[in-house]
Amino acid sequence: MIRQAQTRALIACSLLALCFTIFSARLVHLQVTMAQQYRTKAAEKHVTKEIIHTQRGIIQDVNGEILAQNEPIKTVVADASLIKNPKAVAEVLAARLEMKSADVLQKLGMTRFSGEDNKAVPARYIIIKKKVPEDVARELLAELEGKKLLRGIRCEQDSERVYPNGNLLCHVIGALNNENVPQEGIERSFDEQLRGEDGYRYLEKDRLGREMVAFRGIDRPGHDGANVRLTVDLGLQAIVEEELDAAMKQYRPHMATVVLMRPATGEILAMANRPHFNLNQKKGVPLEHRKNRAIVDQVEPGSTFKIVPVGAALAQKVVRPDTMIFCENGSYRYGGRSLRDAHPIADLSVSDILVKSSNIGSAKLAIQLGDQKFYEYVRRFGFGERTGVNLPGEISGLVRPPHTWSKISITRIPMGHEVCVTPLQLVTAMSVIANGGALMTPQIVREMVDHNGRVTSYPPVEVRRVIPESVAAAVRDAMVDVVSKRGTAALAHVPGYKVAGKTGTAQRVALKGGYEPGKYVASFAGFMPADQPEFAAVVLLDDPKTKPNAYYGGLVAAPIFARIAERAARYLNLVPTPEPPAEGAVAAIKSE
Amino acid sequence: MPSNRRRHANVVPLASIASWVLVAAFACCAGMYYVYCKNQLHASGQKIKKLERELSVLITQNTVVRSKIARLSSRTELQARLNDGTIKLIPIPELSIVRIENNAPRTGSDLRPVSNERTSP
Repeated sequence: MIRQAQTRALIACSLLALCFTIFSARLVHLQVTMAQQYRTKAAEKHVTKEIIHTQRGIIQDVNGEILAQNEPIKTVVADASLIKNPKAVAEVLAARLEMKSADVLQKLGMTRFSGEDNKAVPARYIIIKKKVPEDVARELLAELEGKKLLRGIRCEQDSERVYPNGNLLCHVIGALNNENVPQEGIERSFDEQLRGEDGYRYLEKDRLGREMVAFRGIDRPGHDGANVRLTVDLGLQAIVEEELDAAMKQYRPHMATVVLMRPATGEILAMANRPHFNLNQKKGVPLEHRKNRAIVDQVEPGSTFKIVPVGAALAQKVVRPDTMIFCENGSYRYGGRSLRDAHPIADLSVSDILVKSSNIGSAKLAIQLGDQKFYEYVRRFGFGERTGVNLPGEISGLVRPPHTWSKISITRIPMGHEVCVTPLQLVTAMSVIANGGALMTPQIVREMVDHNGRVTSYPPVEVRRVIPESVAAAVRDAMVDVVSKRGTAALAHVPGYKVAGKTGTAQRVALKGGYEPGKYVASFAGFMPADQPEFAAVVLLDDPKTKPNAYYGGLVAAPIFARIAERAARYLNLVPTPEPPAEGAVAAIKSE
Repeated sequence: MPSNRRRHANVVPLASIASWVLVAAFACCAGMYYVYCKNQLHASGQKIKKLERELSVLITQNTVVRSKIARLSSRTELQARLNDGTIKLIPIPELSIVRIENNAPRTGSDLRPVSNERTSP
């Protein structure tokens, strides 16, 4: 009897133990083996990764005027798996977002294929509308909350890049496209710094979709992008753009460019091109209008290039400023081809070669230097290589090495033919003369301030010394005479200020080779005040429509320079250059 | 059973009960406190969330306003308003401008001379 009872108890215990073992095994299976799977499943239900969006850095001019900034907007997003009454939600959304109710309902009905359930399930991320203004989004959420329809609808913070000044400085700033990808300009070259770094955090939500802050997961704070301050002065930029617009109206050129640079530091004070575009216009801008022609277009510079042979010859002490050069009475045969001057002259001093813009004189200086030495100086002035400006897409221009030159190249390159330069290279070379002989790297960014307030400055960079200071002064004096009644750029004169400059007129190069008949590139490059230059500038018009024989740089580009320089002098409050009193006046003062 | 033994047997174990009551009360308090803390945690969480939302709204509004200010005070906008006559600019008369001569020699008193005349026409 006792044995029987013991057996029964044993069986019962065994069964119980078996039961518990099975349950335990199942628990271990659920808690250990399947833990990750269920954790993921639970997380899918309750945990979401929230991206902490950061602001793209703003772009300012040298005085802190805002050129590019962010405007907060919202993206309305729906999670269809949480929406109980799609029709009611669709009606509210449609009314607030100015959409058709049917369209919203269709979006809310979107599904995705769930591999786990092997069937289509409601989509959890549906973009209802992008670029919703802040106030509209706020009102929408309030209405949804009031009607208890908020669950499953949320507004994601986004921002839109806006440019308060529209088309001012458009080629330098660049723009973002619809996908917020930078296309050109500073937006592109400084994208990494401007972009910042988005943060994230894991959120756990209750069954009503409310975040349970206590269960916040790993956080990574975001960092706003750095603010970039340019060297450009918007006041000067506006002057340049206004004058350029006037020039476009007057001459209707194929394209036009003006660059203003501070010669001592290489800082770009203004840079404008035509045609241009509105930075806030995301679509329909022709590619041609987007080009920053100051750095991506190359032209034959014409006579503005003559500063190179003159500077080189003086630096090499081949000649002195007053050395007389026989200019062959206007026609010089070299290498089987004739080279002509616009005005036949017998002898010219080296300085006057610039003043009278003698092709023959400059060719003879280059011949005296020799191919190799002359080529070396062309390169030393920065031609044939990128200037290194912080803008994307800069080209190096075209300067062929001497072994590829023809017999007459040594006579054509000094007058700015057979070479191609960018307007920026031209103004940088002009700055060499203006600042006493140093080639500076053009600077477009003055400083960058990151999210911690750390300032990264961009100090002036001297690339190399091109010519001695005395030679630069001699060339500068000659260029002052260019802007006198004796020279080719009398129209570049600015009352009250001493201006130095050089005109250039070159035939327009045809795409198929050779030159386009009757089409010219008129240019003027100069600086002011000549003795202590505050700015150097290049004005370049491609194919200006003028009266016959009025297409010269001295007639087209020089007056534009004068207008810009006069307004810039007033803007910068430049002290007028004191003019030496007339000799008679000195005698009168002495007699007193 | 002798009466003194019965009395002894019916004695209520006060100390023991008291200690159990204390333990139970402590456990109860601990439990309540745990729930209270948990509640506080949630309440604080909601408060934090609310404040964060308010802060975010304020930051956004601030950015919107700053953006509007920048747009309305931009050179292009001001120029447009100047063109349509909404605002006017009055040129400063030449006589009201005092120009400082940078290149004028210093006098003994270290005062910099000023002049109203341009040095050249």
